Amino acid sequence: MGADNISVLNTIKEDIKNSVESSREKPYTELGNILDELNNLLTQRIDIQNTIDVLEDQAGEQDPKFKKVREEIRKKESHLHQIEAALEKFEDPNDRKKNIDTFGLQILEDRYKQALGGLQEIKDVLNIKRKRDILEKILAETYDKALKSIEQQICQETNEKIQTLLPYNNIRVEKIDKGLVLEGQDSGSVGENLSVGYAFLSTLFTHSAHELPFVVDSPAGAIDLKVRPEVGKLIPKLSNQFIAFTISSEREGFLPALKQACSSDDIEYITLCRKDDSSINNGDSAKIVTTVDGVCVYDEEYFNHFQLEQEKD
Amino acid sequence: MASFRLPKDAVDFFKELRKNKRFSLQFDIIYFCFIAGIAENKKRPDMKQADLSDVVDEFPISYKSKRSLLVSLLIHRTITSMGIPLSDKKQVNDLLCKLIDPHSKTFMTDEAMKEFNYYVYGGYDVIRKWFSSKPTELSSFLIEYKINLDRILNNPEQSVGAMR
Repeated sequence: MGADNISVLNTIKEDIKNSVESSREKPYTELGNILDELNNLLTQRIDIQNTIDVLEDQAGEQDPKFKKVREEIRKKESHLHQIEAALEKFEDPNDRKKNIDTFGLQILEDRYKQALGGLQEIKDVLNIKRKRDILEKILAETYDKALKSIEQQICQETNEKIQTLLPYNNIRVEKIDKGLVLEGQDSGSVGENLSVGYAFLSTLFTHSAHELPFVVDSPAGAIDLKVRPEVGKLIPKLSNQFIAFTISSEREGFLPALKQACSSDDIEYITLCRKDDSSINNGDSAKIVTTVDGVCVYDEEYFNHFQLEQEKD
Repeated sequence: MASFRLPKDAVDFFKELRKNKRFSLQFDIIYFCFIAGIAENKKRPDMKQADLSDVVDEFPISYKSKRSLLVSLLIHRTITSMGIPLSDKKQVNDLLCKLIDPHSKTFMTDEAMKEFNYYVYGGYDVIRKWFSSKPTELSSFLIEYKINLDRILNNPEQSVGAMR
């Protein structure tokens, strides 16, 4: 045991020694005597109280006024006890069962404070929710406005390009709703639809952050010969890479304008046909690649003059 | 830091004595409960935290002079309860080291304080057994308390701890 503990034990021993002094029995005996004396005094007090009651009864018999006052005092005392008993429930400190029927003021005050804290928390949450709802509404409205604005701008620019492509045609885009909706008509001719499509895609590509290859099957087939040069000139503006599948009849009007709009090296002319087609036999072998059942010719001149007699099944 | 604690019910039981200022301190309740618990060797370690209230961290000034007596009662009761012979110096020393903290104002370790409180909780049960109703007068309470205390001390076989 450490010196500190021994010191404490010595203190305790000393304190006990001082408390009991010379005799261990003395304090016990003294306490017994004091309590005996107290008991006697209590008995005396009861006797005195009984005497007082008897004297008061006698006084009451002799003096009705005294009797009346005494009864009044007793009534008031009784009433006071009733009030004290009634008030007791408001001092109920027992909060163990968390009962909602308690009248304990301290308990209710504690719960009130707790509820106030909870209320403040709810208010904070509601405030955040209200702000979030406003923000969501602003974002939704912003989205709608932005969408409408973009739609209007694209429609406007698309219509300007249509004006360039088809100067003598009144076909116009009214709005965009899952697709292009034309003004006053459900659809145009095949050539009109193709021109509108080019104008629309051209507008989209102008505003796009990404460069995508532009693949078109029969890019000028249904377009009037007068319009084809306009479309051809437009193509290089649509995309850096344009892949078109054409037939011989589409070359006229379209291809020269396209070539003029591009750098001459930018266009790759590829002719594809079946292997048994005799018309390719006289070509330059360096520009010809054969596969199991087909032939591929990389040559501009060949491309410009290619013409099948009859398409075979 | 551990503190002296009381069952909340005990505060309500002694309400009248507190109201008429006969028990001027809540520690008065702790004192009478502790003595009753020690006398009957009745501990109650199963009280829930929610049913207890913290009273004070150290002995109030008016009880400072009784600090050594109360702590020595706890030490003595703990030694006898554990069946440690006073002649077994090693076991007694080990126990004293567990119970005494020379740097604490109560002289008690947290462990000893916990034990002290267990006797307070058990002592409250003993008092509820001694008194059929809430005490309203200090004088009659003291007389009745002393009678019950004498009965236990003069006949230790009646104590709860002795019966176990």
